[in-house]
Amino acid sequence: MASAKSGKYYRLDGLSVLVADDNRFVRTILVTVLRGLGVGRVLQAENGEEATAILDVSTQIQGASDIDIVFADHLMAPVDGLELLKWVREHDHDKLKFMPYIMMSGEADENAVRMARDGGVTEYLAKPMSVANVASRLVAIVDKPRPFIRAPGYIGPDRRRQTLPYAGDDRRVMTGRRVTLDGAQAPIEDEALPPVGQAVPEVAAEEAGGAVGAEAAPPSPETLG
Amino acid sequence: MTDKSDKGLPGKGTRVVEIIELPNKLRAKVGGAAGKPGQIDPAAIDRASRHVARMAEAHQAQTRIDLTTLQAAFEQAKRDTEHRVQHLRKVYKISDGIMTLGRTFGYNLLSDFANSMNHFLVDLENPTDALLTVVGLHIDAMHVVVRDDIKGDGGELGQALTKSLALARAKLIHKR
Repeated sequence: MASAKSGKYYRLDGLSVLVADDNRFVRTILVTVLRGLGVGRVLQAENGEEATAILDVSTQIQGASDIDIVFADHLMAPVDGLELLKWVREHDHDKLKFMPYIMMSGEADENAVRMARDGGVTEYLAKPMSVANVASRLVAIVDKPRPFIRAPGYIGPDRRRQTLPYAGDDRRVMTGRRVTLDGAQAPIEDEALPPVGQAVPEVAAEEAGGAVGAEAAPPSPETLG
Repeated sequence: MTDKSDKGLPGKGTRVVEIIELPNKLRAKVGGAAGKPGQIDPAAIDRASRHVARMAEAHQAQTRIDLTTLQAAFEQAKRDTEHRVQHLRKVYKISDGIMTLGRTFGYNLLSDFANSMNHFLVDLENPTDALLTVVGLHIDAMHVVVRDDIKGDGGELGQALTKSLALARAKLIHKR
């Protein structure tokens, strides 16, 4: 039987997670779940506004422990989960901009799910909450990181998670730029972008009319949640 | 870490999309073999489940409080037509909390009823009396679940409640 020492099981004690939810009891349960799973540091914010303050501090204080993941509820005030997500993705500091962001929401508001996806959410935690689905979102973030896409009107993880067969011409495959962020060195390479489902395509600026990009791809249900 | 990807972007006629490959720092933090999926120790999942189970009594008490608050907001929505939307938004928010944790503590019907009700409260541009009637039926059903401490699918009573609520929703949709 494998143990944590064998490397099969993840050790979560080095992780730092921020939980933002204005429902105190829901927040308490999520914190209990995360601590039970072994997450080493769990910070709490009563709403999106408080979360922005905590996250800002984490970028400004030298030597402060990084927050690795944000769990945020969609419905909270002031500053709801979507507004907080937008703030994170537009932040100047890379530590926040590229931070894994898990949005928690019920399935009732399908539009909210789409807005979260288009706002650059990393994973979606569909309510009702369970230990299993919290654990599965954590594992998904570690095991299936997606490259970030920066396009007109969008910054966030690649929204397409799978390659689907398509018989027609793929007009979305064009030349783009691949950037590798790895410490201070950031080699920049030009290349033809891979087919749909493996990378985000692009159009040249003059063709784009300034308003298209990755978001031009029609939403597919399999990418929701 | 510094984002160097702004170099030369954007400009008319230049590429306008970047794929930014990020180092997987989380994997480095949690361990696991590179390139291979890992998992969370089942013992940790059991531990988390036990910790949550210890809060069952607190959940029951909180649900009763939430339902009372929800009922009050709903009554206000019925009376105060001018601010009906605001009151129903409060109903939606409280119901969302009930739905979030019901199943966590084995109250599947509670989560299901709250979830079904919220489908009718997402779009509140013009809440009709018929909608209020259906919402009220869902709240009544949630009261029954809490009063009788109905867990899981609730057996025959649970099925009867589920069926009658589905019928009420179908009638409302037909009226729309």
